Amino acid sequence: MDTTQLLKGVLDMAVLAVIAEDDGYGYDIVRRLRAAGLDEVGDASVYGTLRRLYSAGALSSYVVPSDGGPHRKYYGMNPHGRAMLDEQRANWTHFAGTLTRLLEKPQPSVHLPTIGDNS
Amino acid sequence: MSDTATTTQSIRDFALAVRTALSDLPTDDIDELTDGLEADLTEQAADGEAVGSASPGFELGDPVAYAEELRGAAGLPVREANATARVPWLRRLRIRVGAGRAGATRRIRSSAAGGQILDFLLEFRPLWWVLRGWIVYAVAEVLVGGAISTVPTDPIRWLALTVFVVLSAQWGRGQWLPWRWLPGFRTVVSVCAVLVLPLVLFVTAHQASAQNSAYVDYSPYVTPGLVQSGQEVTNVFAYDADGQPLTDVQLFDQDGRALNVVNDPANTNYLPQLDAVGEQDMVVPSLLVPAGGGWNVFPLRLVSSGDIDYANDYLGQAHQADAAPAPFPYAQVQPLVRVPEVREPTSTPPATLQPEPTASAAPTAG
Repeated sequence: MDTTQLLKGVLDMAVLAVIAEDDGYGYDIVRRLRAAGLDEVGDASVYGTLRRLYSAGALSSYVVPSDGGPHRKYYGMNPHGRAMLDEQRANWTHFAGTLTRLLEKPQPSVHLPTIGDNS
Repeated sequence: MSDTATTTQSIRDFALAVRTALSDLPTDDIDELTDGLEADLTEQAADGEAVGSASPGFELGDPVAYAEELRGAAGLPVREANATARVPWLRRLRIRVGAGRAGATRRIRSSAAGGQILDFLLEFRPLWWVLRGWIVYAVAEVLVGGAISTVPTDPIRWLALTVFVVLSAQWGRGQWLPWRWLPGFRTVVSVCAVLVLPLVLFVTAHQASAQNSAYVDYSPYVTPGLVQSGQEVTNVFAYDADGQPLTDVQLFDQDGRALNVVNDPANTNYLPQLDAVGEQDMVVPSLLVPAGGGWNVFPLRLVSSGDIDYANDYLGQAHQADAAPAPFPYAQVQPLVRVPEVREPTSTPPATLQPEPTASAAPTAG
């Protein structure tokens, strides 16, 4: 299954979770997500998500001057972001549990008619 | 590595193309979305290189798709057609130019030969940086110095030129750009420099030729018009048979050409001549020749060093109005005496073939 589609729905949560560990700048967060196993995450998606979360007031940002390179815009969590992450985590846990249970339920061994059976 | 500069340029072009694709959004949104994009891409490129050949390598991909991904993830509206009115025109121009450049670069690099030619030309960028510094100096010279002189004439101007060239080179290398608006300003300067370049070259060529013609016209040491024993002749004084000075004598050479003391009589107005104490006087042509160019009417008149006008020309300018008759070297010379004819008794030349005798027989001869 194409995990890109799955990722779209949960990228906010993944980004929040990564930033909850430590503040970071754009590509730094992409790198951490990929290191965590989300290899297929697109950097543009992450940057867009960061921007949206920032607009929604879930993240704070500050600029860190770097010597030799351009300034870096760091994102960090704020209380609103933490609350959002907690809520999403609860939702996800509930949803994932439901889905897991659904998938792990022993399949009913009903006899499905196949073509040609009734002849 | 030489690749780094190329990568940096392609990242810059890519980022500009992304901004173009977002150009229908408000400026603030574009800034928010793409602020630090170059830095992020550069780091990503560095990561790709660090992994080495095992990695598929760093691919910038399609900037439009990238922009759509950014926009979608940020929850911003999809692009509307003709919705670019909110973007300031200057920014739009910059974005458009950048996108055009990115597109051109991509097209050129799509062929191996194109890429090689582009790389070859990129090697000449330092030359352009120097040229740009010089042009800015020349323009500053006009605006601040008030004089049109594209080549420095004194140490302070040389210093100014050096400063401009160093600044231009540093800008070219991406250094010394502490403020955000400076890269844009650099572009404006470059465009203006390209526009002014032909004018500056024209003025410089004109100055060089003026300097050269100045040497030809005024300097006696390059190609004197009339020479005696290797020394330049600047004036000629004629005396008649009685040893009295003559004025307004027209002289011609063996081919019937006017015996001028300058090479280009039609275009030469004065000829320098050092006087006894080393001051530079100017010899001027006679005004008695109707068509001008009276450089063979002797003695030529003289403008003394005190009357020479150095206001416009460091070589000085002499005006005919200041000219005075040149002083004769001698008030008079010895009168000519007729040389007695030497009779040769053995020869019997026929009388009719004899040229007009220059001297009659003297009684003392023979």
